[in-house]
Amino acid sequence: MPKAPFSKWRSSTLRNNTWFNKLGLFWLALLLITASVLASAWLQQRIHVETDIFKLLPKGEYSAQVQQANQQVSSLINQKLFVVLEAPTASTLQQATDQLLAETKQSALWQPPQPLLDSEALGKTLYQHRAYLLSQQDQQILSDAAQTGDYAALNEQALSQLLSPGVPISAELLKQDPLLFFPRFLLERANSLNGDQATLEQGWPTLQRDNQYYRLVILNLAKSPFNIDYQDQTSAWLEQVKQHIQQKTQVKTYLTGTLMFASAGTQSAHQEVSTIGVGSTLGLIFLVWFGFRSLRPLATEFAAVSSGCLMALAVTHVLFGEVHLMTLVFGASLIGVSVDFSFYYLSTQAAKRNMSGATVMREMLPSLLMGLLTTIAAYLCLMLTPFPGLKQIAVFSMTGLTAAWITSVLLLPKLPPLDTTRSLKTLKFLAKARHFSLANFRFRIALIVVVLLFGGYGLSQIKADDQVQSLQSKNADVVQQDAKIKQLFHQRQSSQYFVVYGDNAEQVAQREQTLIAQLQLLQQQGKIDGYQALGDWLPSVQQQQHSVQQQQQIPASLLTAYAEYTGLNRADLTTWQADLSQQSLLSIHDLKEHPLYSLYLSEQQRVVLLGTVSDLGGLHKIKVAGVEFVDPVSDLSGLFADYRVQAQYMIVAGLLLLSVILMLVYGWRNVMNVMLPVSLALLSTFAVQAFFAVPLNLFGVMAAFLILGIGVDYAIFYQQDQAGAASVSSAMFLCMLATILGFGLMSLSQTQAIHAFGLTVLLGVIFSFIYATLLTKSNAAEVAV
Amino acid sequence: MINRKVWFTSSLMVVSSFSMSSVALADEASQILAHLATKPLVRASFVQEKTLPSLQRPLVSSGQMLFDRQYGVLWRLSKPVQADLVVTKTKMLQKTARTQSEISLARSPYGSGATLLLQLMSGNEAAVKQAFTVKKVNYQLQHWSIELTPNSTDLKKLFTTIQAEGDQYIRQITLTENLGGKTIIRFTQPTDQPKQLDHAESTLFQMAK
Repeated sequence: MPKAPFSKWRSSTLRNNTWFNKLGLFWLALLLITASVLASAWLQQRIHVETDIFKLLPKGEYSAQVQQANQQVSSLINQKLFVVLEAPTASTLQQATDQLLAETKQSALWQPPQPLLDSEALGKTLYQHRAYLLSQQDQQILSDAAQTGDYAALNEQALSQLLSPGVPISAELLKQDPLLFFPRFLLERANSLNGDQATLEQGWPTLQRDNQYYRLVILNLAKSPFNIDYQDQTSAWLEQVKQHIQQKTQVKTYLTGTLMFASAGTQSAHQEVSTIGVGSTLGLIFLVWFGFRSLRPLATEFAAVSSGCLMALAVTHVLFGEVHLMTLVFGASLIGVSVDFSFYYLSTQAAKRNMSGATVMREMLPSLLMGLLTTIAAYLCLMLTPFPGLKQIAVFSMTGLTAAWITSVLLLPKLPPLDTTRSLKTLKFLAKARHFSLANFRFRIALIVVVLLFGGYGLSQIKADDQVQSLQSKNADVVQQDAKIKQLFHQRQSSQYFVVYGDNAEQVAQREQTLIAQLQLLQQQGKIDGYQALGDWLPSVQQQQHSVQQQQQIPASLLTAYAEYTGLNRADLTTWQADLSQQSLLSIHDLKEHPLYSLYLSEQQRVVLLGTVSDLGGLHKIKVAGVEFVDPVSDLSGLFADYRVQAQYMIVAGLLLLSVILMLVYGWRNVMNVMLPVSLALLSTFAVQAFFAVPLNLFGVMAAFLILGIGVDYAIFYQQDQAGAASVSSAMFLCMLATILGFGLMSLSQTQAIHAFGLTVLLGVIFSFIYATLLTKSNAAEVAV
Repeated sequence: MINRKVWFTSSLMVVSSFSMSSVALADEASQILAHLATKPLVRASFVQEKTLPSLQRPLVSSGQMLFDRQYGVLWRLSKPVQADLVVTKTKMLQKTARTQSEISLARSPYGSGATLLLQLMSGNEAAVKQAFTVKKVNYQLQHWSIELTPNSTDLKKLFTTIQAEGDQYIRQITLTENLGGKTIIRFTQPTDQPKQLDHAESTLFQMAK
């Protein structure tokens, strides 16, 4: 660990160059050892880089039961890729389907394809238990008839079905189910399955429109759609298969599903990061050339940031057992903040070119150390938030920043001073402004009052938006394909659902039945357009037994009349009624191949999915014992809101913590001098966003921690100013520009989260710089605020 | 080519150019198609005879049939029970005095039998083309007949062959079912008058829309 040798170095080394050299060598050796350990771990593939974005998010605050249901449901919804084939003829449609399925089977990226529904096999299974299965309409007819004793409605129902033109009835069915209860059950269920115009062919929904043939094939993902590696692999595979199909059969392919949206999001983020990266690199090159007439600082900063990343990677991997890709991306940028230390040193060194580098460094070391510690304190607050991703980023950044700092401190004094005369001349106006402000007490008071008034008003106007949906960016092409598929096949599934619990399977089934009745009511009122429940196919034991009883109660007179109308053998009807109880109850084990079987989580738990929801209120009103309504998206949004509020408190806590640290180090009279600019900067940043109606979200608040760390550094460097106003203000100006190039450009991002982060940092560093320049007195002059 | 003047207006629609049927068959079927479906509305009485091996006598039912190109087919059963069956392109509605059930055709194997008639009568060329192969066509002055076999697995399970014959109007449809059953529907007194739907008829069609 760097700290122990470091304190020794502080006390003795700067006067003693050999110590200084030894430490440099020691640090270099440590870096080399770490690098070789990491490299060998990498070669042995023991470095685990996590790419699943969901791992960054906190788990919802649910009971264990809902947690399990949530996982299952999100896999039901997210783990599917919907592929629609558009063919000019039925035969090419078939060829394309075969090819798609064949290629899918050969690829490890997908689970083996399974048709949506083998209706024939399902029909056969259910038929074995037909006595226990009655359509709701028949249940109603029979219970009405049992009360009134008038069974005419049943007679009409059966006869009209039997005699309807074009409806084929097999002799076998007529014998085993003379009143045709089973076909009516199946028809009612088939209706509930989906009311759209697609027919199932080989288990795949197929339809014809405008002389084109369409088929929907559903592929099941082998991994999480949020896994970035998996997104890359599947994109390549899908592109290839699309081309194969197009070449061989002229069939077009459309795709939708969570995978497509997640992939598009990752790709656009990738693109932006590289565009922004190129932009900020070019900008930095110009900046460094402008500031120091040399590109050397780029090389030294590269050395500092790489050594920082190296140590950060090692420590993070040891502590967490893995490193997330987002940690690498974000953390590396955060380590880039170390450029502030370099610029500050280089400017000072240039101003004191007659002193040795080591001497300059010795004088600056206390303020550089404070700069480091305050930034680390700000990141420490980030660590206290419950986001697992942010904790990792915080650890990575703290370690990396410390290592980069050490490298800069050891490396820079070895190099000759650079030429800053040009930039000093150009930036002279900064020092003038600073002189003016520091000499003018009234101006400063006026500035503070204006900022406080403006900021206070702004804060009162601020609005938060924590909706998870609004954080996503949407790719036009993906949205278009999704709309086309939804329009063709009405694939609708809401992310909300119900969980049904109970002590045993029967209790769950009965509770589910109560829920279904209420959902059907909502469906009739148009508040939801459908639902999917296992209970529609598997009635509770109680219900099944009741159904048999209802049929057993059908009077002999009705059976006789029916036999006369139809010419059926009267004895067959007697046998039918007597044999009803011979069949066995339908159980969950009979429905393993059913498409809704996945809604059965355990004996004690089932899930009911919903179609498009147009009125949430109706669903919230459903109160059934053992039934819980789950709305993961709004719950996650709620969680984001909670964390944002927590993070806001943490910022205030961070301000206080830094004040205490600074008070201990510099004395209470200097606290205001250092803390006021950054506090005002934070205030202004959020006030300006409020004025432009930019909603506040978690990512913006997270950015405030970064501002806190950077802003305090600016003030400390001004306060501990060693080289005169011109030098330090131009150094701080360069630091600000570097940070803007690194983070501020993120505000151009289309991805809301990155945009919010970037915009806040952009505004925050500008304000921090302005206020520190105008308000923070140098220790050289007597401090009195 | 042959009998160009034939006035087939009954809406039998058969095409099967992708089947194994010869070019001649396809041509003749196309001939029938060429004259198809000029009448937007047909009314007729019908008698249906359903024979099942297990039944002592055929199930006979009768009533009125109404075909309207715009809406679909309406079967108004009067014997042995009063019941209405409406078949549109997407739905089948069965209504008696006391009960009513609605079936989405797409998801039900029973739908294919019911839509078959609608497809034949309404001239849904593409649907017929997709669903059937033409086995025999006989196309003469004042009389035509056609025999189809189903292509789709769903229909194959239900029917082996479908025969239809007629003159100016469709006169008879025979469905040979897979398990030895046979259904013959005979149409009598076909007419295209009155051209307007009455209130009950349009209500029923609206319900099944």
